[in-house]
Amino acid sequence: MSPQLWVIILCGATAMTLSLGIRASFGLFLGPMSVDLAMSREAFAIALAAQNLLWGIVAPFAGAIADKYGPIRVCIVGGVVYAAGLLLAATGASVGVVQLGLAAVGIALGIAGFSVVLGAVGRAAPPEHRSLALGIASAGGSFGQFAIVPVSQAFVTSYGWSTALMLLAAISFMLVPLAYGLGERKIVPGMNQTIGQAVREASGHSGFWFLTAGFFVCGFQVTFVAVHLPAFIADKGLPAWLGAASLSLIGLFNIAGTLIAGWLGGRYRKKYVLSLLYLLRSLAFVLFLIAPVSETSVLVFGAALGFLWLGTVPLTSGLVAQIFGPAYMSMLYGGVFLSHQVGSFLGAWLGGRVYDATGSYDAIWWAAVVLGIVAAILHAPIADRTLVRAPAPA
Amino acid sequence: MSRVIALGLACGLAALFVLSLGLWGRYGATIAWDTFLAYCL
Repeated sequence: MSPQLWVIILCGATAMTLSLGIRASFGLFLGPMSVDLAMSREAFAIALAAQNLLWGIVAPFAGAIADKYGPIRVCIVGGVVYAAGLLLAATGASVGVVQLGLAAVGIALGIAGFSVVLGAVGRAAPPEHRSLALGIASAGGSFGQFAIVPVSQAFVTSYGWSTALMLLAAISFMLVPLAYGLGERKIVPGMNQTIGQAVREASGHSGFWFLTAGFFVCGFQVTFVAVHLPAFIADKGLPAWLGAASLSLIGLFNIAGTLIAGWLGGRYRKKYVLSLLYLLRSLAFVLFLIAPVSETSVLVFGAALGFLWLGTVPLTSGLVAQIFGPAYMSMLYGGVFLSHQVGSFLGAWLGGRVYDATGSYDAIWWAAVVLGIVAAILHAPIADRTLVRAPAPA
Repeated sequence: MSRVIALGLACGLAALFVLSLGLWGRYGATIAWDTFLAYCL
């Protein structure tokens, strides 16, 4: 890979580190903010739920603009909105203002998040290196979830929540210079299409819908586990530190898993790697459910699931680029990602709902198993050949 | 020039990794894990 391509990959990975890392820190603020602002957990949770949905809703539109005009200006706007959202929350003027700030961060994630960054990387990388390049950029997001959280905690402990949010706003503003590293809009095959033609082409391709359905399952599974695993562990009478340790293991193994998934996607057909990944997730769930729950089984489950966590990102985005070409990759991947966010919302909400209704997480665990098998099956028939289009009339 | 920028970014990420390990050691115990787990991810 050329030094120019490495600059784009590393700028993308660093942007992902910052944007996803800061976003993963918000739970640290609930305690001190709820005390100072008399902000209920529900009010905080509503803001974060809105943040996640806005992230998904904005992504395809921001992606379309990035595909049309290049990623630089879009990512600059994303960085400014991100910093502005954090500053708004830092004022703590009222609960509503804090919610508005956190929601603005969701919009910024949609603008400068996975879809736009991966689109820039996907367009810059030649097909033979694309999957690994997407894996490295995606792993930046995984790395951020591990790396930025202790930085945020250090800020909160040392300076209080408001100053901490301002400092994070300053860090998020780094997205602006990093945007310049993503490169100008590169001319790639397929750019003679209009946005409408690209949308019609994708919506008429069964593979797009299979990928969309599969990514829904990914969002459902990972968010259900992230939100409800600690409570599940506590219900089994295991120590509280185990919940934190298992999620930390997920975060650490996720970095390696995402890189390896990207590498595998360059060597083997991505749809089969995706099917395998979803099958292994289901297998991990089944083994975890039928084995006696112990400290060891929880830690092994965390490591195994972490390895399978966000490997879906380079594979799914790589398949979008492979089938439809990289010209409208940000927009099309943004569309697929919206389904991921809806799945995330349902995984978090239904987990709580089913637990309240039945007093157990069993039904939702088994639903996650079945959905994983369904996702594995759905990816197998994807027609992953690159679409050949008639040349544009002269 | 590109090589220098790429190396700088890689070194920056590596430095962040080392810093994070240190900060996890220093501040990990002060994290309110219940809210972190429920609202972070």
